[in-house]
Amino acid sequence: MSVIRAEAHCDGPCGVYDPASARVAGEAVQSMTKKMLTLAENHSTDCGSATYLNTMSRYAAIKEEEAQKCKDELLVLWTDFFKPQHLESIPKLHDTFWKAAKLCSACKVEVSADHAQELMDAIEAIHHMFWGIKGREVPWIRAS
Amino acid sequence: MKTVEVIVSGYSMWPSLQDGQRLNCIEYTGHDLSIGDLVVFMHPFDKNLTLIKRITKINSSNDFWIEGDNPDPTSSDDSHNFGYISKQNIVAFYDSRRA
Repeated sequence: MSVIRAEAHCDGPCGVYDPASARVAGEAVQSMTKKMLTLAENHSTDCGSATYLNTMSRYAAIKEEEAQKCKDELLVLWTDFFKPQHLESIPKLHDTFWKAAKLCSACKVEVSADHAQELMDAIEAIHHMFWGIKGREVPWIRAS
Repeated sequence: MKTVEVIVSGYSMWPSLQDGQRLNCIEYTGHDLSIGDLVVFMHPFDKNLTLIKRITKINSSNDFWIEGDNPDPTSSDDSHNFGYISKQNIVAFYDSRRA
C-alpha cells in the first residue's frame, strides 16, 4: 500500500511568534513603575518642579506605551498562535491570557509594583505554555 | 478499489483528525464524492503539497469547496485561500460510509 503524507496545516506559513516581545515590554513597564515610585519617594518636597514633572511624565508615558505594546503582543499570541486544540493540554490558557491582558491595563492605570510583578509572573507562565507547545525547553530569562 | 495510507500532518482537521493520525483512504478514480467526505488533494498553487480537508460545498461545475475542521479561522489553508478545487486535484478520499 502506498503512503501519502497529507498536510493539515494553518492558512499561511506559521508566523514567527515568541513571548520574548511581551516579556521585554513587561520588563519596561516594571522598570518604569519602579522608577516612578522611587522618584516620588525621593522628591516628596519638590514634586512641583519642572524637572520633576518632566521626568515623571516621561516615565509615565513610557510605562503607558510599553504596557500597550505588551498587551498587543500578548493578544497576538493568544488569538493567532494558540489554537483550540491547545486548550486540551492547557485548560488555563484563556484565563491566563485574560488576566495578563487585564494586568497590562492595570499597570497603565496605576503605579503598582505588585501588579507589575504579577504581569511579569503571567508572562513567565505564558512563556512556559508557549515553549511547552513547541516541545522545546527554553529557560525563562530576564533582560533586567 | 486501491487503498492508500494517509498520514495526517498538522491540526487543521482537529478535532476530527489528529496530527500523526493514519487513515486508509481510497485512491480517487472519479468516484462520486459528497459533502462531508474527506479528500486528499494536490494544493492548487503548489503541486508538491498534498492536503487533507473536508468537502463542504459542490458547485454546478462539480468543483469542490474544501475546508479544515478546526474552528480557528487561521488554522486551515483551504478554499478560503484558493477557492474551489477540481477533480483533477484529488488523489484519494476517505468516506466513513464506505470505509
